[in-house]
Amino acid sequence: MRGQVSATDFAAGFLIFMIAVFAFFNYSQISTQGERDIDLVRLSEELLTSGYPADWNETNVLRIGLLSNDSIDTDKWMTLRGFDIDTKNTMLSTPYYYRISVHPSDLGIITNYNDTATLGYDTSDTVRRIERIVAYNGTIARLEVIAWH
Amino acid sequence: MALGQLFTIDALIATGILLGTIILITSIGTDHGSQNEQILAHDLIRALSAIPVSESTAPLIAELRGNGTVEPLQMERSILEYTSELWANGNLTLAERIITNVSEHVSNMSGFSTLINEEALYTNAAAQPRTISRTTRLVSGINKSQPVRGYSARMQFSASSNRTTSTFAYFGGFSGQGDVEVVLRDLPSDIEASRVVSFSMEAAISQDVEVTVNTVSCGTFTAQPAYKESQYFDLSPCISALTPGNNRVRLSFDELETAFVGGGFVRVRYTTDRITIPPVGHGTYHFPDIYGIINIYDSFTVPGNLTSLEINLEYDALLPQNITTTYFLTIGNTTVYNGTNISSESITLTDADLSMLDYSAMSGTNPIRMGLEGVNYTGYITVDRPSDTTLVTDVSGSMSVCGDTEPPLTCTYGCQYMWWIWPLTTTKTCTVGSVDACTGDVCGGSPTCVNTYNHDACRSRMRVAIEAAKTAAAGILQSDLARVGTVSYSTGVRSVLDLTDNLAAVEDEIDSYTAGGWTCICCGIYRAFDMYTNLSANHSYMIVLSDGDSTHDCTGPGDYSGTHAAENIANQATIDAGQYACANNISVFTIAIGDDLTPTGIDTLRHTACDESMFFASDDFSDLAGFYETVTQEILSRTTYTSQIVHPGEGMASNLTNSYISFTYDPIAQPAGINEVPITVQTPTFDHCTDDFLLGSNLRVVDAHVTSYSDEHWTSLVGINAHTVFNISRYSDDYTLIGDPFIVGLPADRFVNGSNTIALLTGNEPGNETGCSVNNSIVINAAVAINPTVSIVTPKAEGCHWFVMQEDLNIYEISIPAHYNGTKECYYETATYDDQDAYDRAAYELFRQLDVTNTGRIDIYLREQELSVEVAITQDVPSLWGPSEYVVEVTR
Repeated sequence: MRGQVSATDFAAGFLIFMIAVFAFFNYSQISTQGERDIDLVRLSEELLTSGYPADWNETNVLRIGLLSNDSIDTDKWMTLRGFDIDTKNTMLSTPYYYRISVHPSDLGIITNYNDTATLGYDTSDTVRRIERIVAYNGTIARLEVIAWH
Repeated sequence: MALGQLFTIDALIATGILLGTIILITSIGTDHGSQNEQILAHDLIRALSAIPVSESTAPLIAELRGNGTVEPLQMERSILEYTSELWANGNLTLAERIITNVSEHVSNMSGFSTLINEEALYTNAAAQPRTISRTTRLVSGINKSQPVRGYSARMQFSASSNRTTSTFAYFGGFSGQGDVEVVLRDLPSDIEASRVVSFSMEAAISQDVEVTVNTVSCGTFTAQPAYKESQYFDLSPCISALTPGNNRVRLSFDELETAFVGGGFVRVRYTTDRITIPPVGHGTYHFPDIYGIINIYDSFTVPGNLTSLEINLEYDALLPQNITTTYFLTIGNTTVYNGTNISSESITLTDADLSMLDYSAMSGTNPIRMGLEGVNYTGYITVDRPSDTTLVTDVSGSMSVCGDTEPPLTCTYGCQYMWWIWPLTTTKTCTVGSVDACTGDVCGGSPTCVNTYNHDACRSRMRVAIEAAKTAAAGILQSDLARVGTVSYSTGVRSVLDLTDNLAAVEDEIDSYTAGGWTCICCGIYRAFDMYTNLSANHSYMIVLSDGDSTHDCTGPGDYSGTHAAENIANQATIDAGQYACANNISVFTIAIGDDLTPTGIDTLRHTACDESMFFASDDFSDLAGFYETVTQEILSRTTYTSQIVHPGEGMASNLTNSYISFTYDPIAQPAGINEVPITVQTPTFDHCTDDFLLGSNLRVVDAHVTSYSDEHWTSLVGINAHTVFNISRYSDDYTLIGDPFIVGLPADRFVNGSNTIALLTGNEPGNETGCSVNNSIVINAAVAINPTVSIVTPKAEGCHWFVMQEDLNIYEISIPAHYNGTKECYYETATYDDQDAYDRAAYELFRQLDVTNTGRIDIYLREQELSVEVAITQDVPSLWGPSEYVVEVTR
């Protein structure tokens, strides 16, 4: 009698334990993805500022931002694009690979990886993407930021 | 068993709660779409705000720019602002097309729509019913169906450049004797003939005079014969002689003995671009230059606490060997300089030389007397001025009774005589020399009295009045320029004699008076009033006599017949008639005589006179002659000019030139400062001894003075708001030793915002006041805090010609803006203006600031020549409507 009761309890306890383990791993994955998404928003938000100083250039930049008068500033874009990878990573403070582009535009793409890393972009299952609306060249364009690792 | 089951169920419930929590957390953590859409709404509204119309590359906007649909001022609007304006103007279709065009590259990102004040502007093809996020931006200056831009006018009063202003040179109370020269000082550098508005002189002169300006003759001007009241002279013939800086105006007379100016000034009005800032804390009184015999009565005013004084005198003399002459200068009653028998002198007196003066007592107006001792003063000269006087005499029935027992008396008694054998009676009346003489059959003649009785010797009230009136008429007509008219009244007007200088005619008319009827005092006053045809030029007087209460009413001026009325109505009609005459510059004296008058009747006559000093009352008819005599003397004193002049003597001359009194003081009031506009307020002229005037609440008095044409008398007492500011008796009982101010300073700190009362008296000696001078006026330099007014945004700005009623009922006219030449008329009093016109709105608000009593009439007397309206208009000013809500919604 006592043994039967103990077996039922054990079964229930085990079930609860397994649910907890499942929930932990599941939440752990959600959290990682959420952190990445949140970082992507942060990255895009940072890009959609004027930076500091507002008229920053490659010699005085403290914080990156691509806008002037709330529109994409071509000079800032080209300056960021011309930074080496270390500088880009330092300035944008992100551990992920990313590529940034504006559509339509002829501004080209800003990335922080070598061409060989495009393989990862193509194949990684961690790729995340955000699109922002931004003024550029007298019209309303899309700013696309893609990040992965 | 039961315990075991319970445990298992508990575990399952706990598991369910745990799972639910995990699912909830997961759900929240993975709703990334909502966050992105919120970002999209924010991004879109920012982008719409960031792109100026001028820089938009959207084909449609380029087309709108090209075809002129986009106005130049809209070029710098953002897409958001431009589409908002289109919405306000009702052009939703174009607004929608523009947003469609500019957002074509992002329209597939999500469903979204834009709205203004919840009215949809645009919805894209991907829009879904469910709104996920919503971002709002406030847009100011727009409202549905309201103008987005327009005009705004900003207005303020200012002392304008190119303003019209005046420069004065004063003659003082008495400047003589000989040629008199005053200086118009510091005319601006841009003065020229074309900028002179007027050039004139107002002065009391005793003989014809030639006026020269900087040695250029303006002509010879004729003095009114034997007439010393101020006259106006037009000096425009020598406007071209005026130059920048100082200008000398000289009055040249032929007869030295009457060569003087008894008060007045020279005035030049001109436009100038130069701004003159008057000195603060420093003043200078300039003596008139005298070329003849120095004889000056004047004053200078210290508008604060005197701190230092300097006197500079330059004079010379040509004196016969046997003449010993002393020049003297007296300030107040203190002689500050004596120079004996000096042929030529230039002296300067400083504080050290003037220790005899009490500076602390010299704040305000200080009389100045400068002249010569040892010369022959001829005493007073008396000359006449025109005057009209009417004698309004009661001839009602009550005037038939006994008045007094002054001879000649009328002796009346009963007489019994015999006709055949029958005794009959009759009444005999004749004139006797005394009461005692009225006895027996003193009148004699037929019939012969066998018995006389009831003797009564007296002079009727009528006769008393007749004699007194005749005496008064004779006294007044001593003056060559006086006229007298008569009105007798009882139930209505009984008889009239128009104004005449024929004494015999007046006496005949008065002698014809007989008593009978009721008493209509107002009838007599109104009829007498209609005799005056030249009220402004002549001194006008009316002497009203009554021995009884008024019994009749008048409907108003022109009603001489009267209507029997209740006592209170008849009394009020009497007062109204008298005050009507007073208001029209007639000095009304009233005499209440006899014991038939009730206290109310006496009071009525008291209030019928122009002021209480002009009312006389007694129950004794024997006082009547004295009353008439007093009034006659008063009239005579007002209509003659007396002054102290010197007889120059053979070969005698003394000249005074370039002399002045310079002083420094701690000012009572500071001049207009920041945010204050300096203005000059001049009250209407007043002829009475007191006058009330209003000062607005936003007005601060800087300095002020009252002009007093004391003429033959001295300005003896001036008070403001019950505070005496000048009292000549403080200096001496002998006014001839004291200067006579033409201008009396009024301390700024004695004025109040609101009602003020000025009192001004003239006199010849203490206790012998001569009433008040005429044509007095108060000039106040003030600082007015007037805030600029700014109109709301209106669709137009055209302007208007404004008519602004002032408190004195004069109309101030001004075109705003100054270049407005249209036909539109605006009236402040009735608030008649175009409220869609920026100019009109700002102007109305500006005038409202001057209407401190909110009567529709401005309380500050504006004179266009001293104040300008500074106007600034701004076009295409965004309206202040809204704000409106510009919303972007993202849907899913």
